[in-house]
Amino acid sequence: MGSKACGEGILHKPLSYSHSLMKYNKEGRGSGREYLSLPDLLLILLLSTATAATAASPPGASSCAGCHGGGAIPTLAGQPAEAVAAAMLAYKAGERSPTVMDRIARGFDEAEIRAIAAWVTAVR
Amino acid sequence: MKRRALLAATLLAAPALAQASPKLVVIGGGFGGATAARALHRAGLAVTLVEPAAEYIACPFSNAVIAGLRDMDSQRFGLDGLRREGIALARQAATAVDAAARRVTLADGTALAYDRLVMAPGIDLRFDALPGYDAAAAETMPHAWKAGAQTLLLRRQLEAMEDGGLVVVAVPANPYRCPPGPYERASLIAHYLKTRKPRSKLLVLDAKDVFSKQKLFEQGWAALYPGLLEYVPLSGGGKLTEVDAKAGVLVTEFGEHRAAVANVIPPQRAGRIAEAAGVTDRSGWCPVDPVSFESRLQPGIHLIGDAIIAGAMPKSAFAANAQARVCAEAVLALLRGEAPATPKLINTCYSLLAPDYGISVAGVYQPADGLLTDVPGAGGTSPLEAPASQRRAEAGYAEDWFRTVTADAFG
Ligand SMILES: Cc1cc2nc3c(=O)[nH]c(=O)nc-3n(C[C@H](O)[C@H](O)[C@H](O)COP(=O)(O)OP(=O)(O)OC[C@H]3O[C@@H](n4cnc5c(N)ncnc54)[C@H](O)[C@@H]3O)c2cc1C
Repeated sequence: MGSKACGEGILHKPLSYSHSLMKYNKEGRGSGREYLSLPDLLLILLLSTATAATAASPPGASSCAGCHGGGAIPTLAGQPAEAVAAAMLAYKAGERSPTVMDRIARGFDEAEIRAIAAWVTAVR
Repeated sequence: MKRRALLAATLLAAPALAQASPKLVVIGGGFGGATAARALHRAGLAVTLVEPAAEYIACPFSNAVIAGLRDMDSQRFGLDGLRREGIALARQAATAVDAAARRVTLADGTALAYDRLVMAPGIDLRFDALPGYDAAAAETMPHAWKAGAQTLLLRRQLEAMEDGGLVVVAVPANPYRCPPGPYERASLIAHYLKTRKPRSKLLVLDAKDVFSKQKLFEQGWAALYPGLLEYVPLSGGGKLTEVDAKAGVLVTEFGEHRAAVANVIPPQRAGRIAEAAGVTDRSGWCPVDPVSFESRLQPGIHLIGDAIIAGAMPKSAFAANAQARVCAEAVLALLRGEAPATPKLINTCYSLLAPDYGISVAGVYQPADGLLTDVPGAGGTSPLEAPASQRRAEAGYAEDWFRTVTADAFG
């Protein structure tokens, strides 16, 4: 394995950074308002129907579509989730001939891998 | 109690107010913006994409165009696919953003109101950072760091150069778009010279001492281009201090070089509209929350792609595409009144050292201390010891990635 990906001096940090993370109140907005406004509620209502079909993806899963779309890099939708999870676990363990997938699979634990496999193999 | 009463009132009023669907505006139709617009639209939202360019010209693989290995037409992508899907296109530049009023102004004066704004304006080149290097100088010493006319200019200059000429590629300090891009370019220009103009020489002048995939590049250069490609790091006098475009002279801390063809990649900053929107800090780049990609400076504005300060995650098309999908999910969560889930993101960047010689760097990132940081134990480069078949396979993966990511972004 070669040297570390991005520890090679490319870290892009702010000049000065206060460590306070953006705070979301219980409505999930950064505005700090205490109650939802009527327009907010309308948005929520409309969204709950508009996005019912698009469940949030598990961590990492939404990145896969950048590469997995055919050619030598297989499409994942419609494949058996168990097989995809097994392949990723084998990459993680170094038991499958390396591509970039060994390096990527090591960024996830087994539960994350199973969640990703279930999500990316679902046909939407 | 108050919230419940409001909710009940809303439920009753909802059918009459169906047009009150949230308004999403996306600025920039590149890898980040196009992907974000499609993701938000697929979730059922009304999206307007603001992009002045008639067609998008992709940078990945543009180094192969410069080296005569690829046709420029393979780099062109239209936004008509997005329009056909139902995304509204505003084919002009955004000229102002009023974060308080949640409003974008377009070049013709039209105002677009938004509930949430996603900005993916990419980079602008800093023509104030290197004495002698401005927009006019770039017509003689192309940067070719935004694909298009500049890419073809550099290619024509190489084609017109007599065998035996000196080509210089000048590389800036971090941060800049596509950390390994200058070294891929140097490799493919060296390939062109080796096969077409073998008495020529290539000098890479670098404003830093370490760079992405360095060991792999240096190993490949020694094997493929010995005596042809010379790399000069910062400590060896690689940093440019001045250029004289008319005379073809590049001045470094240690001396002068007179180039037949000079490719000067200058320092960069976030696309200009980011500054106008008040989302850049003193560095010229945009600080964001790494969970929601919301600006740390202006609420309601999300930023993705090259323009942002993303910590360990590099400025790549792959990263812009991955950030766009995470950002879209965060925007949806916020509109629903939920806190966005903590994401992980992946990046993979392939580089070509020759047409059949590819290498890669990959990383997995997660929010920590307010930035995107490397997930420990993951990521890294292709192995240093690898058979030619693996380098050939990675060159093929690069092509497959480009086909997939452009289809994902542009349909
Ligand atoms: C030579 C080279 C090689 C590269 N190779 C690779 C590679 O192999 N792999 C990889 O992953 N990445 C690569 N990259 C990097 C990649 O091109 C960028 O990281 C990527 O384009 C970033 O996407 P973005 O959406 O942030 O910005 P961009 O793609 O630059 O898109 C920004 C868009 O915003 C628009 N815009 C700007 N201002 C406004 C405004 N005011 N109003 C409306 N629209 C506006 C622009 O017209 C543009 O279309 C390479 C780059 C270069 C230069």
